[in-house]
Amino acid sequence: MDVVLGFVGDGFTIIATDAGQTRSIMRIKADEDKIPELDEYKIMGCAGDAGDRTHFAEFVAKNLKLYELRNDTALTTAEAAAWTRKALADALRRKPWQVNTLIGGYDEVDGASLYFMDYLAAMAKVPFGAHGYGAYFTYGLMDRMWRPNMSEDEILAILDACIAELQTRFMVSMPAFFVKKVDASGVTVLRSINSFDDERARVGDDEAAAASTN
Amino acid sequence: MPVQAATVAKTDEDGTLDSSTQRSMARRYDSRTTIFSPEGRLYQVEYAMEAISQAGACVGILTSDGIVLAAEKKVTSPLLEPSVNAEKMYRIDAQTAVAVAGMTSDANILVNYARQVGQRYLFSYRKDIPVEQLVRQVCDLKQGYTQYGGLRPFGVSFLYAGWDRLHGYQLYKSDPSGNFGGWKATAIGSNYQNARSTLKQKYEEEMTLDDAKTLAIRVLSKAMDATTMDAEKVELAVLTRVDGAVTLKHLSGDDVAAAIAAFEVIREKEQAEGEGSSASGSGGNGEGAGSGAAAANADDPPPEDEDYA
Repeated sequence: MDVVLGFVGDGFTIIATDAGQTRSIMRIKADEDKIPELDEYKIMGCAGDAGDRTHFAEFVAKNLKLYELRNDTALTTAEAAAWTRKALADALRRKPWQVNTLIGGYDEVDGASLYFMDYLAAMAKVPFGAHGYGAYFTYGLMDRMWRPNMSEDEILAILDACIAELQTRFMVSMPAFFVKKVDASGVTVLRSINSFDDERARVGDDEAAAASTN
Repeated sequence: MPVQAATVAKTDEDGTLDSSTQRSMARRYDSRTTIFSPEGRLYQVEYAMEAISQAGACVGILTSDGIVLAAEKKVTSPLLEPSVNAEKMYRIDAQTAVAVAGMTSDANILVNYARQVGQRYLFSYRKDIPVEQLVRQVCDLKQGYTQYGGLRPFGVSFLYAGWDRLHGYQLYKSDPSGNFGGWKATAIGSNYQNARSTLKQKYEEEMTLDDAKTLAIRVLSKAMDATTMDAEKVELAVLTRVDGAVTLKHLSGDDVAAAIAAFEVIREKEQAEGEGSSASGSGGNGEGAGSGAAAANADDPPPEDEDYA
């Protein structure tokens, strides 16, 4: 049920995920960061099995680091995405990872870029993308609103329209999202949720407060 | 492998090796690729390098516009069918080519391996392998044969010419020990010391590709035994980047002959000038043979190489 959204703008890539960790019909936690930073200039929005998600992201990140140590140079986003795709494809018929990913990155060769990859290791370079049920609700908006070389505010306007649509029409509640940006100066966290200092993240608190006053 | 009592060296009272023991050391240890001799040498590896210094010479010269590779074709018999075009130069992948000195059969194995390395990288990353990584992987294989038992090292040195987005044009040299290094200009194969000392004298940073071709012919003429340069005995290729694609262009016989002619003109001019001032430094052939005068390059000529120069 995880939602992952991604957009390429003018010199940056933005990836957003919902903040929920669910098991069956139960939400376990509501401040889960599903956009691990693979290295200084790469982020990966992940949807899928919680354990696989974490394990796969760490596996990729450590291998990128290993390449960097061995060769004194980091992979470009395109190279890292190709390697990640192959790792997923090689594992597919042995011990598959159940993860759908959007890989965003910035490098000097290609600038900002975004790669869509599903758990079957099908990969495409895209200007925007979404995974899971969220894709059904948001691709129409992205098709209509996305233009090349948009500013950060313009991209965030598309993202907010997508989130509003999900919160209106999607059966699953998604009260909060993580949003990260990667550009020439690295990764920036645009929106995050910390249940210890952000009251809004405490799912059910509003209801509990309402119940106690009644 | 069992330790044999016979391999323990005889020593004098004071612990030094007596001369007869030392002489037999080479024989005792040289059949083992993976065992150091008491002097700390791996004879099989040194013999492999020696085999290469008998092979046809290869020269590589780096310029800012590309790389010139030149090689001596040793004509073994007039009855032998000449190979179509390239005998000692192989394309490894889209960005890299090599020139070979040494055993052709060993080189075939390594070239095949290098091509696999290149394609494996392309399969993993969808980009061509950076030149240094390719060199390193081939050298890792070569190194393995100096350490793991019962195997003979590859009797091959390579000159790798390549271009990649990280470091532009690059020239590397590797030897049977698995050592490699990046060079602006270097030579392998027969008379390599003379070839390198010529390069040391004549190489200039701002050379054009045509200058480099002429220099390559000059260096080969020093390294080859023949008194006159013959286009049929020389292989000349230029690696450049054209519209974003790295190309290795093998020069035709006519173009090679033209490069040789260009060099002959320069040499005659130099000789005319040289006769006025000093008699030394004429561009004759084989002048360094057997003499200890060849400037030893800092990196590798092992001490005994002087016997075979």
